[in-house]
Amino acid sequence: MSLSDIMGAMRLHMYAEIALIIFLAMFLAVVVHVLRKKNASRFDSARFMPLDDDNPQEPRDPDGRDEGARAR
Amino acid sequence: MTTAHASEGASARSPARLEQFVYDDDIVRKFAVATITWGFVAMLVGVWLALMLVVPSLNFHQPWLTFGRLRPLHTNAAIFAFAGNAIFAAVYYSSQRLLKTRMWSDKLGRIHFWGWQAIIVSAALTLPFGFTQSKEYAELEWPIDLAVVVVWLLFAFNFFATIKKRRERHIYVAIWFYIASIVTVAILYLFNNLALPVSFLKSYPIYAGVQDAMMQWWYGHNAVAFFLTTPFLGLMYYFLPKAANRPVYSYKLSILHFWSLVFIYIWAGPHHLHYTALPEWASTLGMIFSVMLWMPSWGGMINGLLTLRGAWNKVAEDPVLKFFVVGVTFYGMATFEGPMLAVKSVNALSHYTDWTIAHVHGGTLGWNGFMTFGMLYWLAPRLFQTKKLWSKKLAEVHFWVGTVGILMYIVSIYAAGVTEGLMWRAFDTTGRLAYPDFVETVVRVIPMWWVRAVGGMLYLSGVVLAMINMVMTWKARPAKYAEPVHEAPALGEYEGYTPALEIPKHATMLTFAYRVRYFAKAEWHRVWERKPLRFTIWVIVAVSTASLFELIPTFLIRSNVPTIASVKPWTPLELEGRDIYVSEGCYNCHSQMIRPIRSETERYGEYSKPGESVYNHPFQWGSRRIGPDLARIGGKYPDLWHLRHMENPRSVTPQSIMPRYPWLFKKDTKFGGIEKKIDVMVMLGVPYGKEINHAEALARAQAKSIAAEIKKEGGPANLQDKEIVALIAYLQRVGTDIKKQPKSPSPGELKAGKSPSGTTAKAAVAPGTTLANVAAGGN
Repeated sequence: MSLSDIMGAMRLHMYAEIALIIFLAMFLAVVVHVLRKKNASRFDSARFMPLDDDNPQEPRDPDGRDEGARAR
Repeated sequence: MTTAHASEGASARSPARLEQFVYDDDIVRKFAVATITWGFVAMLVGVWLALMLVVPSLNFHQPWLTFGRLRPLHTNAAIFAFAGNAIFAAVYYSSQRLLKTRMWSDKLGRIHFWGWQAIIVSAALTLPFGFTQSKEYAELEWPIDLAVVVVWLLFAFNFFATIKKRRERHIYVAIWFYIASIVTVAILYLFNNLALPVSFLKSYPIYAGVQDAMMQWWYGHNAVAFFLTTPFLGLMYYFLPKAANRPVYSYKLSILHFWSLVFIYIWAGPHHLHYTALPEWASTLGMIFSVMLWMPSWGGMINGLLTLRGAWNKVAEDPVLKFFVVGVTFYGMATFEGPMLAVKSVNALSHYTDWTIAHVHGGTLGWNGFMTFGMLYWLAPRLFQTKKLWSKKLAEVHFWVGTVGILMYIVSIYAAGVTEGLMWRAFDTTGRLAYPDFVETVVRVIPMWWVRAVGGMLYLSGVVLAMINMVMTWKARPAKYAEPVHEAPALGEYEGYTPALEIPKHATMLTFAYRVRYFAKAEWHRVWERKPLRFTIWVIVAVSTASLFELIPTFLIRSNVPTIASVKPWTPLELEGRDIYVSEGCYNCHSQMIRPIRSETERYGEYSKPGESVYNHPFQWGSRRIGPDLARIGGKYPDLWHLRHMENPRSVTPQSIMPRYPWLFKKDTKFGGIEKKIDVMVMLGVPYGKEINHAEALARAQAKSIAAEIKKEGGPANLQDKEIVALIAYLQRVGTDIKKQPKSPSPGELKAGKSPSGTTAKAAVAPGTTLANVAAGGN
């Protein structure tokens, strides 16, 4: 008996369906994450990252307590 | 919620903690110059190839200038040299700025740069001389593959170490695209190139036939996905907002775009093998996931184009934005066309035709090329610190010349592709092929190939304009480049920002409930995004899960590749001839895979079975028919026909565009090396017997008898030591095994009392039906 025989007998035809469900669930999780209101402000600041070569968006400045609170 | 953390953080936060850093632009300058230089080389070779199709003698009868050998050089140069260097320029420029840090190591960057250029040069020094693995975009032989892996890993290390020392907490979506590209390309490249070396520049892949094909197109399609798409999307998400000076239209859409591509792309490979000997489930899976790719891809395109909302007036004035807009539009076009071509019924028409060539050139010239030129024009004045580009006008001219060039190229080749597809499948009213002679279909598209060549020349002249502009901008550079110092606090002191899971001592809920609440707040994704390592692992999981789900069944479930008892390994001489076939790059114009479609079986013969290529390391199914399919060429013509044909194809087919192969008549077959090749094949599981220790003698004997046959047919004498004889030995065997009855009969046959010779074996194996052979060898 070889590995091929074992794999052949494993009835792997369910694989495709299982994979599809896993991937659909992951996709929905990402959609939920993206649409959550509380993430909106963070995405807003992230959008501006390429435009500022000098300063990070978060932490915004050395005294960035407020920024941290906002992001949260 | 985290007051304790916040106060701790506050005490650590003081202006003295500001760190100073300088971005390393020298490495970006290097990659930018390499990009345009190799771009010129890649396009020049492309134009040369286009011209050779209409004027075959342009190879000047030199082996190293022949289409079959130069075409891999063109594709490799366009993908890995031109697009590759462009990606690196983009990564080094944008990553430092997005992460607010210099690269982790300047030295590793230099090793990466020079290593990559050395790899390109060694590709240019091996491919034209016939050293090839013959797997498309993975042609480079094993020592160069090893160099690629080393250089890639050093680059990856430097990149991840840079992320680790960043001063920006959140990782911008462009960096995600870079991460996905770096890890996935590493996985793809490694697994597709697994091979056993025979000599310094010759190896056999460990996979054969169907499995080799499956691995190759899993790699091939994802090379398009993770080398030509995701890094360029990272480029788009950084440089397009930069050039337009406004943020990306929707960051949410970019996150969806990213994860959808990572999850879906990896499955799409099998659409390159529709109606071949690949198991149908794999083909269907590839089709479905390809169609699914359409939506996220268009989401990305829309995101790019809408970034310019309210700034379209800038597009009219700025060549950089013009290049970006047309580049993104071509991304949209190619990602609509791709899913369409992946639909089986469309693919039945388009496969093996110029349609595919038009599709990839829309993608490479339009999307990759124009995004690259847009980036280079934007970067040039900044890298060379000249305030502005030498000539905006020249860039405008480049844009229009390039656009017209692409349109001429793809429109003519679309027409050629559809013409070929329709002519190949056309029947007349009596039910016979309307164009039984393949060359008729070639002659018909030659005018379109001329238009394509002109389109290519226009595009190439655009590249020349870009080179002039770059050089002139460079000439206006300051005596010494300024190195502006930036300041930002180190990230380590802000760990308090990461929300912690908190379970109060006197909990009012079950501890489990706190965990659920924490998870449900979707902090998990936020935490990942900040932890590049975990994020990277997740990408690897997504990519490898998909790969394993799709690849493992082909490898391990035996029923997927039914063996055929009458199919035997190549004889030593045929194996040598096959290596000549591989080395001359015959697969670039001739497929060896007849699809189970009536027009194909009428034209070429019995359709190809998976069991026929089980000993073929590497597979030679091909992807394009510039000439006819060769899967059933064996025995179709006498040896002398092949000899005349290789000497001068036009002596047997007056309108043929195949180049002449005079060197096959001069070069000696390397009989001494065959033994070693057989040994390696045995290690790969090919069941050789008496050949193992007598390979050379057997090869010489077979060569002698073929040479005698040629002489008998009225051809030249004393060819037994020449490569042409080995090649003819191979060609005459291709696709013939299935017509033979198996030599060692199955027990059923013996019971029926039939002679082992197979000539009268009628009871168990129905005569003439090849399908019965498949069944006989099945178990």
